[in-house]
Amino acid sequence: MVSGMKKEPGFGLHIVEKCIPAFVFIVALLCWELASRAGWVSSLFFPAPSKIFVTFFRSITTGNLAGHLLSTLTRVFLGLAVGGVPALFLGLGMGWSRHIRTLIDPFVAAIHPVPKIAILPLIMIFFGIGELSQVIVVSLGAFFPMLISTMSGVQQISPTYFEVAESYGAKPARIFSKVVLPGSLPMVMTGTRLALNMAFLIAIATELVIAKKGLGAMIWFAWQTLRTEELYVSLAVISVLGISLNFFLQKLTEHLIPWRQEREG
Amino acid sequence: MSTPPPQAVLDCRGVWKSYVTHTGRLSVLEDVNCRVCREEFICIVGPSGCGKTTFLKIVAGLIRPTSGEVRFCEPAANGKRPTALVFQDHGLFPWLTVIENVAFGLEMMGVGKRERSERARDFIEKIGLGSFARNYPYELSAGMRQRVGIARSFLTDPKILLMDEPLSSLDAQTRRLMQEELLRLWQNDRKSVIYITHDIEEAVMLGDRVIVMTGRPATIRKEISIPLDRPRDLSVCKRPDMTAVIHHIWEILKDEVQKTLWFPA
Repeated sequence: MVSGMKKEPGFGLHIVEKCIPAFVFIVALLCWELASRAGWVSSLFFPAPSKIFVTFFRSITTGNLAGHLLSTLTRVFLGLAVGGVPALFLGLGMGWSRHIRTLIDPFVAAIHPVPKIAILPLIMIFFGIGELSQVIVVSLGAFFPMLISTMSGVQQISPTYFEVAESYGAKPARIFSKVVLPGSLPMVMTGTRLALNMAFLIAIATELVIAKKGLGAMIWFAWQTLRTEELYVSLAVISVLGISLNFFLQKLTEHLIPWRQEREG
Repeated sequence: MSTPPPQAVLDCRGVWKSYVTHTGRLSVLEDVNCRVCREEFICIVGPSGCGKTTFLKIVAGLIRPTSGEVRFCEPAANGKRPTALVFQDHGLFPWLTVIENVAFGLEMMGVGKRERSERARDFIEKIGLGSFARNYPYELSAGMRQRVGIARSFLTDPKILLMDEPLSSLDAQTRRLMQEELLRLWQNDRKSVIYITHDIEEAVMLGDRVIVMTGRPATIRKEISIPLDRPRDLSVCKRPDMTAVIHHIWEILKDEVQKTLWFPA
């Protein structure tokens, strides 16, 4: 209950538990290597992991990978900023004010269920086949998860906290900064995570279709030229990137919301 | 009863409250008249759900009465309401530390950061929670949280302290200690108090006057003076004259509770 009194149950067991997945992963890689080299599986479909690693290091040294990575990340974060930031403010407003909610809700209900990637052709007609269209579609994808999480984050704040603030004479601006913002922060962070993952997914998807650069484009070139090793490299990079982005966001959340840790104890 | 005594701090006249629901008008309070004097400790008992909390929130300015008047005889200098409300479930902001929670009322009054931190720290030191100043509410026990809630209300130095069953969620042993602490705090810094409880012994031990309310729609059924000297402690409830008073209050209250349960009287 009091901080500093947490005990670490079965520390040794903890380490072992963590090592098991890594061990399984290494064994699986070794089996794959063996099967590919022995010709039990087609080395076109399943090139040996060692070959994939060689391709990976070559794409690093040529700067090829970095270029693709940078394009994708630019689209993701640009889309997240363009879509997520307005969604944050609109979501706060919709959560706090019933009037704003009734006004905007029908539009959200109408547009939200449409898979954003399906709008890409229409957007391309308006804005051309290029960077702008991609960023617009990515930001649309980031917009809705952020909006809906933020809105419900504000709505789920206990009415007691509003009453406490009001009973001490807080004006609306103070209620916003002292209750609405901190109270909705956990859900805002959830929304950021959902929006980031959605932005990432849509960025890759648009790159498959129209981009010259980006991880999605890298996959598409690899497929067209049947360079399977490169295909595996880009998939691995995408998954590692996804994992690291989520990990980073998790750490940021813990840092921003120290009052919510270990609630389940 | 024709003219208010000069030391009155609060005068409620003909307070009515009703809500419009889908089944028609729901009357919650009917013609509540009550005067609170300076340094007077008033306890309100009544069937649960009768409207005691509604009355308290009307006095706190959180709910507007349908009709009637709540008049403060000495308005606070800065135009703020001279009340502070202690909530049933402590109402501490989970995102603020103990010291920030305690200082919240002062912050809303516009007291500078340095001064309010100092005053908050002094108060928490005084009640022995100094070492928890930087902890978050989730790290405290239920009793500690409510002590912090009470500290927050005392620190704004209200003329009238409004307490809505502040100890009802605590276990019996904690509640006893908290009652004694509350009396100690109040005897050092006498304010007018309106204290809602469902515990008749608590009401008799703490109050100068016990008001018994009827079931919904609530109105004042009876007022009973508790002519005991101060300072008091828990032992007063064991005195024969006080057990008679407790029994008397219970007889009235039982009648009201039975009505809410639709028992044949």
